[in-house]
Formats: sequence, C-alpha cells, structure tokens
Amino acid sequence: MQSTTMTDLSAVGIKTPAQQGMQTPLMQLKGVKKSFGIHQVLGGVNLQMNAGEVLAIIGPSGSGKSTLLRCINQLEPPTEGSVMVDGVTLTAGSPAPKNGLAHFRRALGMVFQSFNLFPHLTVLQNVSLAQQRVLGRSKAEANARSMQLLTRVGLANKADQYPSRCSGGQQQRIAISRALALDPQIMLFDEPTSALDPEVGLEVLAVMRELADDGMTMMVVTHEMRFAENVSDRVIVMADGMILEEGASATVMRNPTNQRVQQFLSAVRDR
Amino acid sequence: MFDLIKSIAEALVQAIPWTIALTVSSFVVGAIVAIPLCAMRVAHSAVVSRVALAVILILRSIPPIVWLFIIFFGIGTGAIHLNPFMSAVIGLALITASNLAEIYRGSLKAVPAGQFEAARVLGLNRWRQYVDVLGPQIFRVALPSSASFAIGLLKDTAVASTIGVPELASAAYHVSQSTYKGIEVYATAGVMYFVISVLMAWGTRALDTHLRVRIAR
Repeated sequence: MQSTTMTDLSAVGIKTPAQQGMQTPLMQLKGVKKSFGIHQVLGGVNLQMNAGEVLAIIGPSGSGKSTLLRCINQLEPPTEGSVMVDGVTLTAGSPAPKNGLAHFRRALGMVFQSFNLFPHLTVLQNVSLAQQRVLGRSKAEANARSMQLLTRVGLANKADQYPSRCSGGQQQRIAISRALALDPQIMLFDEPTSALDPEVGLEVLAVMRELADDGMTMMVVTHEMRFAENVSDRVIVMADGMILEEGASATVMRNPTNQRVQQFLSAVRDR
Repeated sequence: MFDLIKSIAEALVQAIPWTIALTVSSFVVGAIVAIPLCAMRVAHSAVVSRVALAVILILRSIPPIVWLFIIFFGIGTGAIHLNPFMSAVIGLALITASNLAEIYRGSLKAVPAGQFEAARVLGLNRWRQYVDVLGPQIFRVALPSSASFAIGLLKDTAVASTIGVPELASAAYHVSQSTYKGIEVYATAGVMYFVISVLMAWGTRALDTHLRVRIAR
C-alpha cells in the first residue's frame, strides 16, 4: 500500500488536514486482514488518521468498507494486523493490553446504518444511558449533556418520546447524539444515510457536516459522493477488501488514477 | 341448590390461597433459575451448552407428578426434610425453569443483532448490556409465552394434591368425599380455576398492551 501525498486543499476551499508524519496519528491500521471462514473480506489494509481529519470511504457494495469500520472498533476483531487508536494498540492474535478494549470503546463513537436506538428507552434515556453507566456521570449531568446535544441536532422537543415515534432521519440524529455524548475522539459512521430517503438523509448529512466543521475526527463509510467530495478531507476507495486509491478528496473524486476507481466514480458520479 | 353451591364455594375458596401461592412461588423461583439455565444454553462452550440442554430435556420430559414424587418421597424423606408445599414448589419451579429457559432463548434470538452491537460500542459492560438494554427487550418478547406457561402452571399445581398440599384440587376431593356431591363440587372448582386463568390472561394482556403502546415496533 503506497501512501499518497497531500495536494494543496486550501486552493479548493477545503480545510487542510495536518500533514502526515508531522504529528502522531490518532489512529493507525497496519496490515488489517479479516476473513470469515475461507472468505477473505479485508486483504491487508494500512491506513492512518490524524486528529481533526474527515475521511470518507467509498467503493462498491461488498468491498469491505463496513467490515473495515467494524474491525477498527473490534465488533469484528481482525484476523491479522494491528489497530492503534489514541496510543493503544490491539494486535490480532496477541493478548490485548489491560483495558485496551475499553479504551477503544471510549475513544471511538459509532453510528450504524440502522440507527440501533434502544426501543424501550426514551430519546433522552438513549442518549444518557452510557454516560451514566460508562462515564459515571450523575443523572443530572448526563441529562444536561444529552439535552445540549439534542438541542444541537434540533430534537430537544423529542427528548421524552420513544424512538418509534421519530422519523428515520430523527432517529439517526439521536444516534449521533448518543455517540457524541461519550466525548469520543473519533466518530465512525457506517453508511449513516443508506437507510433513509434522500431528503431525510440531507438533515443527517447537515449534522455531520457541522461536526466536521467543528473539528471532529470522522471516518465515514458512505455512498454519498457529494459528501465525500465536499466535506471530507481525504477519500479512500475500496474494492475487494483492498484500498484501490487514497488521497485528498478533490483529487480522488475528480482525477482518480486507478482505472477501476474511474469506472466506479463515473457510474456513481451524480449521487 | 344455590345454598349448596354457596357452601361448597365457601369451603373451596379457602384453598385458593394455596393454589395461588404454589403458582406464584413456583413461577418466580422458576423464572429466576431459568436465567442461568438460558445463559448456559447459549454459552459458547459446547460442553456447557449441552449440559444445559440435557438438564432442560430431562426436566421437561418427565411428568410433573413423577417429579413431585421423586422430590417428596425420594429426596424429601432422606437427608433433608421437605414439607409437601416446599417439595411441590421445588418440583414445579424446576419444570418452570426448563420451559422458561427455552422461552428466554427464543426471545434472545428475536432481539436484533444491532441492539447487542450498539450496547457494546457504547462501552456498556456485559452485565449492563443485559440489565439495561437486552433484558427489558427479552422480557417484552417473552411475556406472552411466559404468561401462557403460567396459566398452564396454575393447572399443574393440582398435582400437588397428590403429596398433600391443601390446594384447590385437594380441597375439592375432600369436600366431594364428605358431601357426596361430585359434579357440583368439581364444577365449582373448575369455575374457580377458570376465573383465576382468565384474570391472569387479562392481567398479562393489559401489561403487554401497555408495553407495546410505549415502544410500538
């Protein structure tokens, strides 16, 4: 896997990520492979992210994008390779350092395609639960933080409703609040708008764009090409469990070098 | 005729607390014992899972009356002394546990995988995942089947009469023996079982509706 050099992004009005190598990366993957039985889904992924970077991962279905996210947060532990998040490294086949997994859970927020809100809890309880149980915040502290986040995504009026009373777009914004409430260092998004109608997806994308503008480090698996081009700093194109192309979003989206990437992008260009 | 039924009913009603106590105690103990049994049944270890399966099969395939005899006449007269009520509760609770463990297991499978994943990525420890997220959802799915089982259990408590628990069936037997009014006595007892069953069904349906209105999905 060759690393791609950064082009000047300020020229196209996109905030420039910190130059690689200038600082310790917040996250680093080395040779991450994942197989389910004999079926290899990830074929050795190397990747690093700096604080404040927004990375979009695109590619055809079945290319291993979601599995990559799930390997990073250890929902699917990699079969080979290592993942470092905020200084703690988990290596496949080696015993994890003490509290290593807990460290990963604290550092990584995750937003799912299907929201996965807890149906038996109110919106407020959904956002507050882990703050109390994991971070040990008092109920008042947790609820205050939850309301602050819900207000920010425009859903303070839904706090006492159950998720089933909320639209898909609202549920996803609640799910984003739930993840943010734990103050993660990196937010992972697994196709956050794929289960939504296009116009509902926009309200979720608006929230994500705001997050990106606020400097949140984000890794977004997406089919939204405009988001990849306009919001992310860097784009990775995957196919068959490998990274085909990686670079500044403007470069990758407009002038990809890999032929397969060119075909893929011309097919989905106007999404 | 009315006076006769009234006096029979008055005699039988005194046994109803025993029937209810048997049902409730057996169900509560069984519902608790079923939790570790279910956990063993779904354990990753094949050995643990098979041991649980064997226990469940043995408990379920032997009729309640045989279990009660084994416990009361077998175990209860040996090293430890068990009175009839305790023996009946132990026997019925074990049978309840084996049935509810399977109901819990089915309910566990009905909770979407995304719920487990969301609970995990939020950093909730295993205990909290079950207590705060999965348990309440499993409970909701398990409620109707568990209630059906509880109504079956109410009727199974009649076997406790064979080891001398003075519950409803036992009272009916004694009253019919002393009055020679078989049909009236047993019909009255039948009505009483019917009324308790219907009340249980209504109660659980009301609870189920209440929970469904809240989550509605």
